[in-house]
Amino acid sequence: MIGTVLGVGIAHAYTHSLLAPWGSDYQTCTYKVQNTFGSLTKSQFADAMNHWNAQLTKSFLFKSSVDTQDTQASWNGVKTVTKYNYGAGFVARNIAYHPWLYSYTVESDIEFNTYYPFANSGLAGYYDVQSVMTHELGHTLSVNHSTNAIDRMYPDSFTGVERRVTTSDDRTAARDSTARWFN
Amino acid sequence: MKKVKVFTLFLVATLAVSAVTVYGFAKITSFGKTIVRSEVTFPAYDKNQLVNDATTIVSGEVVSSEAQDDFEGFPATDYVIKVDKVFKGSPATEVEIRTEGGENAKMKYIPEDRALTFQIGEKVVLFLSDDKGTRPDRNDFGYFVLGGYQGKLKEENGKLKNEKFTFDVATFEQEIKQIEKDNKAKGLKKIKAEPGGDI
Repeated sequence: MIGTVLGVGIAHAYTHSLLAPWGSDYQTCTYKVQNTFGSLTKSQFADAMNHWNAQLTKSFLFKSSVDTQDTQASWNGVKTVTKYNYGAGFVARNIAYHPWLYSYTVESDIEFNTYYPFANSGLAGYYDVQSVMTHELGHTLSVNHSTNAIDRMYPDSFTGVERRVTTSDDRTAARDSTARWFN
Repeated sequence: MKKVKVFTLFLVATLAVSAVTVYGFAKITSFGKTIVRSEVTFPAYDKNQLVNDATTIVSGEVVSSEAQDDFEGFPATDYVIKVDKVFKGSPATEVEIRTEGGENAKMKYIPEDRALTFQIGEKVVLFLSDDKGTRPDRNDFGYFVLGGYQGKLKEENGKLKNEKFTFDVATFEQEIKQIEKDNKAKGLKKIKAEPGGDI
């Protein structure tokens, strides 16, 4: 499958599709992280953001220096990264909000499901926090899943591996995506 | 007067088409609602882990669906499956499963492209988990489908299939039993956090 840039119609070699863009008013996206995440995890969230920013034409993803006490996603004007034991289901998810009559994204929240085992490394039997965060932040850049298993935007999560680095196709998709709203 | 009517009709039709083009079909059919879209990463199961982590494995028919709100206020859909055969576990004759996505008064929640959908009357084989974590709505439904799209099989030309797994219909029961034996021999554990582990 050939990825296409929505609304532009240019074909590219990557297999990602693109999600609804942010509005042009949104030149940065700053997440508040739940205060109960450990300091190493918070630092790895920032590293994942910095990794993506280095792939873009300008930095978009930031971690607020102020944490949140929120434990769940909600459309409240605050972009959050939270954790909760949701039971067997998703490892993590990125929720995007598009108000009625808005053709673009206005908020994104990321949820980690602590039913599953996470670690700050690719420890056997655990999901690497930074790898999962890198994947979810790709969605914040309005990049959808890739069908190519080597891409960081491949949809399924594996335990015991560190996949913190994006591929050139991930980067190209992210650049095409952000070009839709970057000034 | 006739010209004015024709022009008005033309104007209304043009505006309607433009609105659909600009804002998208989902917006037009969900008047006044916020569109919420989620992209999910699932655990990557293999057959052994899927069988191991399933509380129950059943075949059955989808008999009803009901829109719900989950405890975070996001729309969800509960489906009731009339069980006709059990391959693992001891479920009731009907099981209620919860899936992401649906619509309530304020939101239309669109789960990702690979998210589970069911049709009333559909015959399915499901790998189900009753591990519902600490969510306060855990008593409102019975099961999740394990691994989303990975835990639902449909029969096609003598095979039970989804985009990841294929089983032979004729030997499905035996294969499940063999996998259970192998898992027991290997001491395979569930993909589940140990108490006290945190990030």
